[in-house]
Amino acid sequence: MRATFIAYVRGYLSLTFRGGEVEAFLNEAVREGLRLWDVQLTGPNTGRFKLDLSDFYRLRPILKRTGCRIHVAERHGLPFQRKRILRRKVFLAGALGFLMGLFLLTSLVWKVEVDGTDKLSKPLVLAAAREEGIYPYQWIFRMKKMDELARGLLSRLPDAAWVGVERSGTSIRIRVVETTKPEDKPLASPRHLIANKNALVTKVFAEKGKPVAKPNLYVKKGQVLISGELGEGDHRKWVPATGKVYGLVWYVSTIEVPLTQVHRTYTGETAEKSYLILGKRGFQLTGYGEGNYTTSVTIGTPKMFRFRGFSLPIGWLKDTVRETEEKVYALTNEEAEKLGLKRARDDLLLKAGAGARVASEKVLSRREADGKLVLKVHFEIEEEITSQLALVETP
Amino acid sequence: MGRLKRRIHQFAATVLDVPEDVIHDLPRVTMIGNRQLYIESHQGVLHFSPTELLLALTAGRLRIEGSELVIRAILPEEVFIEGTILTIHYDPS
Repeated sequence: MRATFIAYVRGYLSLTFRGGEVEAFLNEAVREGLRLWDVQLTGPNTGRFKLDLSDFYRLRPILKRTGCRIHVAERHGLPFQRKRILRRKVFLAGALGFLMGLFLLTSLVWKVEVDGTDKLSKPLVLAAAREEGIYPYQWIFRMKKMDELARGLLSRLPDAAWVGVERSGTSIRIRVVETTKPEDKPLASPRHLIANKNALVTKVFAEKGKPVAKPNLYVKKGQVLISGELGEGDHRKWVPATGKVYGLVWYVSTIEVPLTQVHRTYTGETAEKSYLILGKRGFQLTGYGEGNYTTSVTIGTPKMFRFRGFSLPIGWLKDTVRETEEKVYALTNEEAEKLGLKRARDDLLLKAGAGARVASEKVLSRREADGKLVLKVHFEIEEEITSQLALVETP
Repeated sequence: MGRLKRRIHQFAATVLDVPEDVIHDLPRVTMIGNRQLYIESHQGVLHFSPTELLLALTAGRLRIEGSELVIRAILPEEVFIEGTILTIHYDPS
């Protein structure tokens, strides 16, 4: 048993002894259960050993019986150190102060994090948390229990479906799951729906308001289709008219189709060149003598080195040169007409918007000029013809 | 110990393959090089000096000779000795 930490805490003595019967003393002491160790003889009948402080007073009767004399040489351990430490008041105060500070600083909330907010703003959640008593520099022991806090926060945030609060050390994490709300309908003020083109009405779907237009009615641009005015006289009411009105609109398109079409295709031959960019200059590093094609396309984007968000004037460019081949096709008049009509149709339908369709088409004239086929085509497109007109109530 | 009891113990020790020191009251001596020595189940110190330690056993005595012998720890049943150990002499009596 060496001078272990436990012995140090309990305190122990270094004793020297003289005379008497050493062996008898040892046997007696051990039988009495004294904790003694490091027994060492320094000469005939003299020696030293170590003894637990608590056993010191039990040593006396044994000494008397065996005729040994002892002398305390050294005192070790905390019970003796304590006196010495207590004398150093400022040091003690500092040590205590440090422990206190550590304790106080670790019982403060240092950070509040909010997670999972998308539509809800973080400051809003933080403000609600502050009202619940979660804010930086708050005492942890002053806060309510985590589940209570979560419940309180949930009642303060009507747009949250679930709120979780968890503490890890000195930081608080608030996790929010938002409710998914149906999208708000845009507020509509009273209005008419009017025609935005001259057209022949084909279908009227009125959701709100009084339908004025009827199928097979010619309407002019600006004419009211669905009225936002309901009732007459004293019972008059203004509503935002909603609905859809489809009509046939006439278009005359002039289409030019070249009779020889040039297609550019890749041959599959490629070459790569890389450059080092310094400032505005590029220094070619690899790919010399490659990619000398008669016709080619070069694709490459420079990559500038970045350092903490700044773009440095040094970069790298990798160009890929692809050989191309041009093929010329000659079109017959029929093929050219088909192609031209398709293009015109697509173009018109794109402009007419969703739900439009080609009702009829008629080629008015065909003519060949300068290697092109010039077509004049009349299209009848069925499309939505409504636009809104806000109403201002006149007193 | 009666003769029968001793025979039963002997039988148990051989059958169960138990170390003899557990069955009989024999000392267990553990030596680490020539520097450290543990002796379990001794019966007291008969003589102690820096060059010699004489321990009483249930049957006989154990004489340890060496130099700069120190009793590192001593308990009613165990003793732990450090120093330079030269000989261990077992005196049956």
